[in-house]
Amino acid sequence: MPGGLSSRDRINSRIRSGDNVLQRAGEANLSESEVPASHANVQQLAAELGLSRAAYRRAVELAGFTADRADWRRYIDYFLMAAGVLLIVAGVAAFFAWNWADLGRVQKFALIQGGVLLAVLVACRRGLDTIPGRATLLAAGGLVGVLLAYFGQTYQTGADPYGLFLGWAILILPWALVGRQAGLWMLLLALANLAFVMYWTQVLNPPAGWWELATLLGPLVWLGFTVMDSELASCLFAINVLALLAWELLAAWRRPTWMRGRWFPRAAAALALATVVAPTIAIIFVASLGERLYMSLLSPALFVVTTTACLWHYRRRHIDLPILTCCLTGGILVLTSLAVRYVLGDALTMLLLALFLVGQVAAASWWLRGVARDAEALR
Amino acid sequence: MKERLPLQALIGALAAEQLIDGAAADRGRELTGQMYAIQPWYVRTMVGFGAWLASLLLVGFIASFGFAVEGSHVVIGLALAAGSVFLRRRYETDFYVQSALAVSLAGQLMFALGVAELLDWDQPEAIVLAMLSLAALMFVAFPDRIHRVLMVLIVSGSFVVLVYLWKFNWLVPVLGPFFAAALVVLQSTQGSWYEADRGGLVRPLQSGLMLSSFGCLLLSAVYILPELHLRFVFYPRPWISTLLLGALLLYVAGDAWRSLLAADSKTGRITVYALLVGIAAAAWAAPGILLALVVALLGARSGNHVLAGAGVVFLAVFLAAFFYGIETTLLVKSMTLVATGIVILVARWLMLRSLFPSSGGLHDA
Repeated sequence: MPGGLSSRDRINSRIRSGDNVLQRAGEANLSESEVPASHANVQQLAAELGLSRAAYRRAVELAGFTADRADWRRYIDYFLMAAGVLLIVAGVAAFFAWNWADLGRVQKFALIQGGVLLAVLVACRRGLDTIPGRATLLAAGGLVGVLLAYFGQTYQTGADPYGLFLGWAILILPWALVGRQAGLWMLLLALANLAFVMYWTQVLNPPAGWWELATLLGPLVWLGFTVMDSELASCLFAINVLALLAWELLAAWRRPTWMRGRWFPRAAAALALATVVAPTIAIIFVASLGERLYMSLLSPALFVVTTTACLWHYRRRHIDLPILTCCLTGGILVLTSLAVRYVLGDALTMLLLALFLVGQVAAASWWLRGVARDAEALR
Repeated sequence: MKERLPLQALIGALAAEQLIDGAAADRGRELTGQMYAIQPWYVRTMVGFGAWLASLLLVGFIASFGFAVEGSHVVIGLALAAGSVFLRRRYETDFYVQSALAVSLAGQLMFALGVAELLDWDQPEAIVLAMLSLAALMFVAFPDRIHRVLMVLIVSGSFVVLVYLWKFNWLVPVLGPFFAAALVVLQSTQGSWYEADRGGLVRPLQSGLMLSSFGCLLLSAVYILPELHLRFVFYPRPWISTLLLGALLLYVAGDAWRSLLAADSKTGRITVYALLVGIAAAAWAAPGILLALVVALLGARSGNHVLAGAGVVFLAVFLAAFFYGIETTLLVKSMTLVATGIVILVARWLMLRSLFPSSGGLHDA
């Protein structure tokens, strides 16, 4: 058989391997009987069971995949409407792009400010608790940045670029406070990080020598290089940890509906961990070159403290599998880097490293499985 | 949106209608248990990352033994590929699955490098042919969906490279429509594949053919800077693709909407087909638009939202690439976009009137 093992053998091997006990803790609360007959699930069922043509046809009918008249009307209606509107909007945008150089300052400002005003009006009209309302308020928040960028471009005051991001964050703060959405807070957090990085690298501690070359390689490369400065990375860590703590405390104290989603604290935790893991790994490798390069033991110390604290809190107090996974991934990266730095030599050491990595991943996966089992038992 | 029937209820219904026996129903319920208890994506990502890194270290260890003998990478590559097949067929957990994937790809790369070394890098056609052959073999042998999709992409990509190397550029505008036609045929005969217990091959083949056709049609939007003075033509005569994809669109749309058009509704039929021909004519220089519509229609017809979504996303990507590349002013581009948008809105109005003539269209179901 092209599938190798028979369907039954494959299913049995999966059951024996224990791969079937880890569940999506904290995500869709489905029971086994609620697993939907989605397109992917039905195809998988048909492939595993080798359904006859008649059985497959009937399964497709029962699952409701065949589009009926109402479905077709909806598809034609929505698709052609969306395509037509998007093409017209793209055409209008292209027209303004063609005309941009010939427009006056007042007209350009009017266009951008009009966009902000329109987005806010739509958000108010639709309501801040609706998806369109939230999306347009977030869009308005983004357009404020465009407005400030054009302002800075038009009136060259010589101000440092960090002022753009700082001003942007300050201006959208009231919207974040009333907006009741995680998106604006995420934008605010990103702006706070960027503003601080700009302030540090352009005012407090401008890089010198070959570090300056990193700015020529593009903003993402430059941002990646900034974590080589352990002190800067530690300050960024503080910003993200404060944001995470504030969110978790408020969510636990006030319990508002809009704070029930977990993606903001997960993103903040991932950012905080990244700002300690990356410089720790950099220290492990760069220290071997005998250079100091703004390195200190602050980042490794923060890494150990943060990982321990997160593992304790998100295991014992409030189970959150994604954050635990981030912590373990960071730990694996650091331990593997240490092994590469001090063990890697000949070909045999590659084998040892491979086995070490296998052991770490297997242990992490086993532990996470246990946590998910406990979370399921608590529910 | 329609409420989804639970999978167990579907299995029960098939068993009640005696379309599957008791043993198959039990296996189906076990499979539902697997789907219920699948690992979250972020855990699988961590496991996958670790597996890939560990596998590449292992491959480095094995490959270090081959440096002494020229061409030994061919043997090592084949051994790794065979080993990965054994690993994948034996184990189903995420770690082994990802390890097998990494070892297979590393083995195939090593095989290709070994062939290139043996031929002194002189015959690129032979190297590409060797890669294509091994990928085709691995498609059948390695029982993993993602791996099979990658193998289809390697086979189709290698074939396109061979077409350019052999200077058969005239074949390029036919390839995209060919892959799309194969996708249509596969979708229509899906039930036969499951019945013949070849179900594990059909889904990855469909995904691979879809992505291959997207890739081929994107070649038609490649923009070569005039300053380079290159005489190489990436995509000669794109109107050939337009004609072939236009015919495919008429076939797929006609088949999909047969149930919507009353048997005696000649006017409705003429209107719909005239609109489709009009769309094909409007997309004369941009055959990717027709491909996107074919894929989106296939997805809508079969209730496969992923396929329909892929068609929509490809439409956006193709249009962006196409309009970025064409050598006209922004003013002409903006006028073309607005005009096309208006035409589409008018076509929408006409289609809804022809296909759903009663005023309460949603009640026509």
